[in-house]
Amino acid sequence: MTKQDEINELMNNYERAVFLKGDEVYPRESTRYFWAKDNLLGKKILEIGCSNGYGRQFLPKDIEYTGLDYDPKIIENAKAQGWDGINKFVNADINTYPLEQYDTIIAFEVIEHLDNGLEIVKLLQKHCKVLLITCPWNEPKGFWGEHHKLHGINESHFQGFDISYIGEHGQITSYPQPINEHNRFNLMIAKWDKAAQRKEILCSVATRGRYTTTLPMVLMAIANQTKTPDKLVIFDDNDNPEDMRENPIYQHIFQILDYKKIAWEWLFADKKGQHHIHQKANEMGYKWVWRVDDDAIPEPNVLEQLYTYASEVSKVGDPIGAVGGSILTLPAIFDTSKSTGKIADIDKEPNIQWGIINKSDFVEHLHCSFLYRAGVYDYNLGLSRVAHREETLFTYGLHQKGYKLLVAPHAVTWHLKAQGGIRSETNEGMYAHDEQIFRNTLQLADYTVVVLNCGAGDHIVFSHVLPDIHNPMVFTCYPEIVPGRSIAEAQALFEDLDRWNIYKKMAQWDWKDSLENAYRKLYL
Amino acid sequence: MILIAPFAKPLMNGKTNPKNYPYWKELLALISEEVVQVGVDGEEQITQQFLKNLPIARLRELIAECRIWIGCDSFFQHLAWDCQKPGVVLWSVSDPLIYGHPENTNLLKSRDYLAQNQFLWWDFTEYNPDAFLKPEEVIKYIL
Repeated sequence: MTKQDEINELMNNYERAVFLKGDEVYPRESTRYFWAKDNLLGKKILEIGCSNGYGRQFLPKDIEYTGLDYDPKIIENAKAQGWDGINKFVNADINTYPLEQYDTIIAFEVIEHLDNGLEIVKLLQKHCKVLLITCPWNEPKGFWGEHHKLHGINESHFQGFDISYIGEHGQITSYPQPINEHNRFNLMIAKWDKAAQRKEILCSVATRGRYTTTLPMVLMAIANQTKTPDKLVIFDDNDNPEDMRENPIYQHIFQILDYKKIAWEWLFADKKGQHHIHQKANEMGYKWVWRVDDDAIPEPNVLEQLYTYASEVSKVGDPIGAVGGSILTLPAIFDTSKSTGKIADIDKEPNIQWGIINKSDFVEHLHCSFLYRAGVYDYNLGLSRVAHREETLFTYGLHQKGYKLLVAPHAVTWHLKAQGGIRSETNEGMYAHDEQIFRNTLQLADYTVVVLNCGAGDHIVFSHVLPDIHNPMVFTCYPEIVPGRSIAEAQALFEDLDRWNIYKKMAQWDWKDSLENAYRKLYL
Repeated sequence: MILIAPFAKPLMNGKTNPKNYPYWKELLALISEEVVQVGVDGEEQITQQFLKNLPIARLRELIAECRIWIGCDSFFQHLAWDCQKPGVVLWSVSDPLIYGHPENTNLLKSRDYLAQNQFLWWDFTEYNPDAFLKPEEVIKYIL
């Protein structure tokens, strides 16, 4: 067999690039390894889909390199090359290989070969500090033949990555090069750096029925904020969802978001209502969530103003739970000069946010759009799909938990009442159901509600926390251990008991401390 | 008298609870002292004296009377802790740093055997007898 025959066999019908020791490496391949060398972090390096290890020659000699490939023949060839450095070549499937923790993982032209390639990206992120990936950009089906399992991979699949492009002839550019006879395709070259992932502010937009009315206006307004969020997530709860990532208007907005380095993600929601959506955002690991309605267009300073109040007031007093500004609906702007923002006055006064706010003030509940401290209180998932009163229940819950709620001046959001909307339901029964849960909650407003829907041992542990809880109202499975009302009563009053589920909470908090301290965090 | 509470709550899927110690009989063979077992209906009797379905108040009395108690990660270890009576807990897949009490002797063979997700029903965790310390190791903490 000639050397070329050997290479051809190893290339497996052009499925992989193969270069033997001493051979010239084509620019498209060498470019990405030079880039890898420049972006490498640390000494412990894993490359998956390493072919015969030809990329090793471009990386520093003093790293501890492991090359992985599913093909035993190519791994044998890699071992036979005698590449310089500390190297280990392993024949293994990435789906079953016991990954360790690495400083950098390299995955060049691999993920498109795997049915679960995008899941593998997420897996790799859990096992490294830096992840370097290349793959075809927006590859049409069939362009590279049947060994590519994933097609149309683009920027939207790589949230949190810094993305550049490699043209057919190996030039790296910040935008895809035009496709023509001189450049038939682009690769995407993507770097994910764990340390660079800022998780301070998430902006969350729940949308339904407003693709072509107010939603693009809202997204542009978010892109144009003087203080930008770290990430924007659009939760699409439409009855017949469309992929607006293919729409030119939205593509324009997403390019602006990319340019401003605002990560964005379009998620299709499960049609259970916006309280489920907000709870997802609440659990995404950010410190603050700015929730913006899909028909509420914030002025450019709104996030900056809310964030300034949230962080500055928290420095000098009790921690802030949420901050809201004015939400104005023309032509009628309410006179809210007499509004107190107290929960007891909720039936008597217009919400304080419906009018011009001239000075900051503490309140007990907020309306629809606000910046809130994430992960400290849950939305009530027992509400119906209309999620009537969801924001009041949520913000009042924050208040009850001891967090301050604030309205801030000079932070105006313009509410454009358009058709559609996340609450566009006509079933009055849903509103009545939610209103009942709201009223039940208000009835117990002076108590700390405790729901022990758990095992007998958990009750015993909890009993050591109970004396420290202010004015508890206990619902219990084991009244002989912790006296109280029945769980069935709690179910009837609040419907959803998950926010008191200590196991769910510990999972949500990635809890490492004791069960007793988990109860303290939940109730104190 | 040594009090033992050998078994955790039965799983809904009918499989063996991965927190149940697999070597009770071998461990008991190493003990010459009187041993009393407590538990509920349906549990295997592994000692001559098996007191079933006792009210909590009676369990508290027994805990107070015993020289030492031995159990797994179950209701009993929390109750004994509440009674301020230290004992020995035989761990496997659940994490004593979360579910245990430092006042007890918590015998965990290795954290490598801990279930990755500590907050799911234990039905989802496979039973693994290798995850437990062997009786000859455990007995050192009891005699």
